[in-house]
Formats: sequence, C-alpha cells, structure tokens
Amino acid sequence: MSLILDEPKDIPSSSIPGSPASSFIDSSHSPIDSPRLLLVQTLIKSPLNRLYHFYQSMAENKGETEVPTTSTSSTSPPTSIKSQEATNTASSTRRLHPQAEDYRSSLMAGTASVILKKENGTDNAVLFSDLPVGVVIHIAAYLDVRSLCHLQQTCQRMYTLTSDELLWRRKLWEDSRQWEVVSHLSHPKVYQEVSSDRSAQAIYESCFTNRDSVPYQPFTQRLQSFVRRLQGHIPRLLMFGSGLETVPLVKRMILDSNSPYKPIGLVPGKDGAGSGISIKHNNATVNLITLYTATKAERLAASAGTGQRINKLISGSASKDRGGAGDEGVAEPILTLAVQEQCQMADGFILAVDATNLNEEILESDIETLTAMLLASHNQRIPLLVLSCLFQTDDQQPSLPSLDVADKLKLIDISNPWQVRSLNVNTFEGLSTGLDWLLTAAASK
Amino acid sequence: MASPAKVTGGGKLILISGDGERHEVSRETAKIFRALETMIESLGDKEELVEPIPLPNVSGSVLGRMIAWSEHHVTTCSFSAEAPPSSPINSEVPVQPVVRPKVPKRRQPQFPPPDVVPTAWEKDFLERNREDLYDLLLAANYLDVKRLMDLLCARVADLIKGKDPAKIRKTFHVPEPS
Repeated sequence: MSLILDEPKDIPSSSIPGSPASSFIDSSHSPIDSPRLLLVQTLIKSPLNRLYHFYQSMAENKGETEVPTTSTSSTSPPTSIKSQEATNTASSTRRLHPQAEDYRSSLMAGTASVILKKENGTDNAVLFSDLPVGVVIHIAAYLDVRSLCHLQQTCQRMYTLTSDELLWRRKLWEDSRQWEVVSHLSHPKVYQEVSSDRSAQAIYESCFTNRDSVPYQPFTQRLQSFVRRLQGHIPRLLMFGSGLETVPLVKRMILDSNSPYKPIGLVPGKDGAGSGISIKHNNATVNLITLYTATKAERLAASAGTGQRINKLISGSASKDRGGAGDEGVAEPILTLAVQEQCQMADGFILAVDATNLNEEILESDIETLTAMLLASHNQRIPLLVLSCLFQTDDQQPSLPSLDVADKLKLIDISNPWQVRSLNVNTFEGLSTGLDWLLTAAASK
Repeated sequence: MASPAKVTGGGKLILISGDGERHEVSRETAKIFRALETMIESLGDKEELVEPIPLPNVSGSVLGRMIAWSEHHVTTCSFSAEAPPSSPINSEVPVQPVVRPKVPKRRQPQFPPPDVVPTAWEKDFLERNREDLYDLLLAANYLDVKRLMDLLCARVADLIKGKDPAKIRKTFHVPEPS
C-alpha cells in the first residue's frame, strides 16, 4: 500500500515523455533488490498498467481522506493531499486521520487548541471564526479599539461580527470619557445630530481623527493672518471662568517653577478691565487678559456664605425682544461696556473651569458669562478653549471627563470652534498644545 | 469520572454529556449553569429527578471540568452576585411553576464589566485548561455560566491584544482571505 502511495514522488522523473524507462532504472545505482524498486520496474515496463495503478492509488488516496472530510466542518483547509504526501513516509497508523493529525499538531503548538472531540469519536475542529456570534462579541467587548480594528481585518466574518453597532456605541461611550481633548469636531453628539444614520464606528473614527484638528482655513484668511503677524499684531486671549477663581491658574503660571511660561510684561487695562500679562509662546508674544467676576475678598465671602455671589462682568440683562416682534422675553446678560470692548478686540477665549468642582451655581454663572462674551464679540469664528483644570493636593476627588464638561457647558449649541482640554495645573500638561490649537484657530478667525 | 458532588440538600441530578458520560451533581451545583437553572427551579423542591439531563453539546471531559468549576463556586461563593440565593429546599409547599411570577431575567446582553480579575483558584483553573480554552468557552456559552464566560473571553481577548491582523490569523488559524 505504502509503495503505491510513494509512487507520485518517484514517478515524475521517469514520466517525462521520451525518457526511456530503462535509463531510469540504470541511473539508480542500487541493485534491484528491494521489492519497491521491483514494483516500480514492473510498473514502468507496462505504461498502461502503471497508469492504472497510479489512478487507482489516487482514488484510494481520495477515498481515504474523504472519511474525515465528510465529518469535519467545511472550514477544514484543503491540506488533505499535501498532508497525505508529507505523512505517508511515516507509519501507516498516522495516515488514519491525516487532517486531524495535522490540525492537532499545529494547534497544540499554538497558544490555543481548537479541537473539540465529538461524541461520535471523529475529530472536529472548531476554529476561532466558527465561534457563536455572541461569544465573539463578548470577546470583542474586552478588546481595545486598536485590537478590535485588527480583528476586523482578519476575515470577512470577523468584520461583520465586530462591526456590531451596540458594541461600538459602547466603546465610543466608554472611550470618549477617557479623551483628554474634545472639540467641536470630535464630540460624538455633533455627528449623531448631523447624520443619525451614521454608524457608531464611523462616528468613533471621525471623532478620533479630528481630536486636534483646527477648522478649515481658506487661503485668503491665511494671507490675512500672515499680514497681521507682519504688522506686529499680538493675539489677545481673554481668560475667564470659575476655574480662574478657584484654581490659582494664572498665579501658578507666573510664579511656579514648573510653568512653561514666564511673564514678559504686563498688559494695562482700560476702564477697570482688560489687564493681564503677556507671555512668550513659541517665540511669539501672546497677551493673556484675565477677567474676574469679582475681587478675591468678595469671592471668598461668597464661598463662605457671608456675601453674595456677584458677577461684575455683567452689568445687567436685557430682554431679547427689543425689536418688538417676539413676545417672550428671554433675559440676556449684557456685559459691562469695558468688557464688551475687550471682547471685540479678542482673538480667542479661554474659559477655565475646575474639573473637580463644578456645581450647578458655578456652572450657571460660567454659561452666562460665556454666552454674553460670545454675543459681544460679534464674530462666530473666534475660537474658545475650555481648560478643564485639575488642581488637587490629593487624588481622591474624581474629575469630570472633558466630554462631560463640554456637555455641561452646552458647548454643542455654540457655533464658534471650541475645544475642551483637561489641564493638570501642577504640571501644566496640555496647556502648550491647547494654546497652539487656540492660536492656530484664532489665526483663521 | 463522575465528580463527587457535595450534597447540600435537595435531590441530585444526572447530567449526560455528549459522549455518554454520566455526571451526578447536586442541584445547587447545577444551578450555576444558568441554562439549567429555570428548569431546576420549576422542578419544585421535593422530587428527585430520575431522568438524566442530556447535554449533547458538551463532551464528558469538559463537562467534568465545568462541574468542578461550579462546585468550587457553590462552596466558596466567591462571587455572591452570580450565585443564586439558596432556595428553601426543605419547605413543604410545592412551588407551582405556572403561578410563580415570571421575572424575565434578561441578562445584560453582550457587555461584561471590563474589570474581570480572576481569583487564585480561577487563575489556576484557567491555567490548567489552557489547551481547551475553546471547548470551555463553547460549553460555558451553552450552559450560560457568566463568570466563566467573562474570564474566558477576557483571556481570549488578551491573546488578540497587541497583534496585527496577520498575527491574529496565525494564532487563531483563521484562513487567509482569498
């Protein structure tokens, strides 16, 4: 039996048409003693007979491999003949289940065995791609997004399975809260509202790739900003928000040894507003104007409960329906004139909030100031950088993710380009890149 | 081959694996398999189930290990949320399955808690059955053992993490796309 099976290996050199059979025998230096060569000789002597035996052996070959094939699943790779050839030199017992043998040896070598012994005794291979849908998604739920994408690329079935909408929605929900930066281009809600039929995976990809991107800048504007820079225009960034008052951000920027920025000058204010410091950022001077809602003594009194929380930036409120058409009067905060003037000169806004302490009252006042400022600026392209400040002596306090800060400030409704960035006040990590973004975006306003 | 079931009371059950092995388990142990839980509960308290329960999709050796798993978790109750509260076995009142308010126990479909930390025993269990990860996975899926499922899936996910598609194909013997 094994002799016949060996034939396909031995025959080819002699089966070349024209080559005499005798030369093949002569070329083998060993004398004709083994029964194997005898058989070969007799076969070669009668070509018809040889062909017959050859085909018969092939048929037997097939018939043998057919046995396990019928019982295994359709995913068995077409290694039957090859493995047969490879193993037929070994003992005949190994040839009983060549496929199973092949599988077992290859799988045992790997990290995971996928052989499942069926009750009828035949070996049945369960491949990873044959796992039930629920199991695959269960596994996928433990994967990070990068691995998930890699898994998607392995085969078509994996692609369809791991493109599961719920899975990706969950991943988006979980991961977006880990992002340190959220902008008007990378907030998932923006995409959900614009096109609700977009899959969660597509939204994830859009958000992830757009995290740091600045709004599109047409050529004319780039030219304008270039000219302005040549003219020596110093960008004015307006800093305000509750974070400035609860977190000593500016103070630390000036005094802390870790601070990447050193003040190079003071900016004089006008009418009691608009004073600040100028700093060097990437060899360019930037004016940081700080606007506080109240003096420190007043703020302390307010937080202690003895005084009233006041917002000196806002002079009052006016009904929106001054035109007379609208009947429902929505009170809109009006900034003091000095602050309004500052807003019109501003190139960018920086709103600092305290990520560890953002209660309703503070939030309301921040939103109020923010909307008033954006209104007063009369320009919907002025970028807004929200610094979600982390300043704590102990790490006990949980901080809000950037995404939640964006949601709480209702930034989705703002048409200006915005970005929320978490900033560790102790290390100033993130401040420099935040300013980069703000200045680039400001250049295209 | 039949694991010695720790009798905590109540009748015993006989589980028959796909290849015909008989395993005798206590009811409490079998309840860890949530696929059987409803059936056992609706069985009432007193009578002994004489008829064996066939589990054609699970092989004998795997079933033995599954039972070892559930026996461990019945005795240690390391995850109290998962183990159902022990039913009043000695009460005489027969529970009528039809009247019993059916609370649809829809499990949270696919999303496990991301922090699955195996205990020392579980780690050892997984390590011992490293070769048959998929058998166990399929069996755990079939018998609906959530904790084991989470652990196994997390483990398989660990095998996938940090590999590029070609490597994943190689590890899991996924045929190359033609």
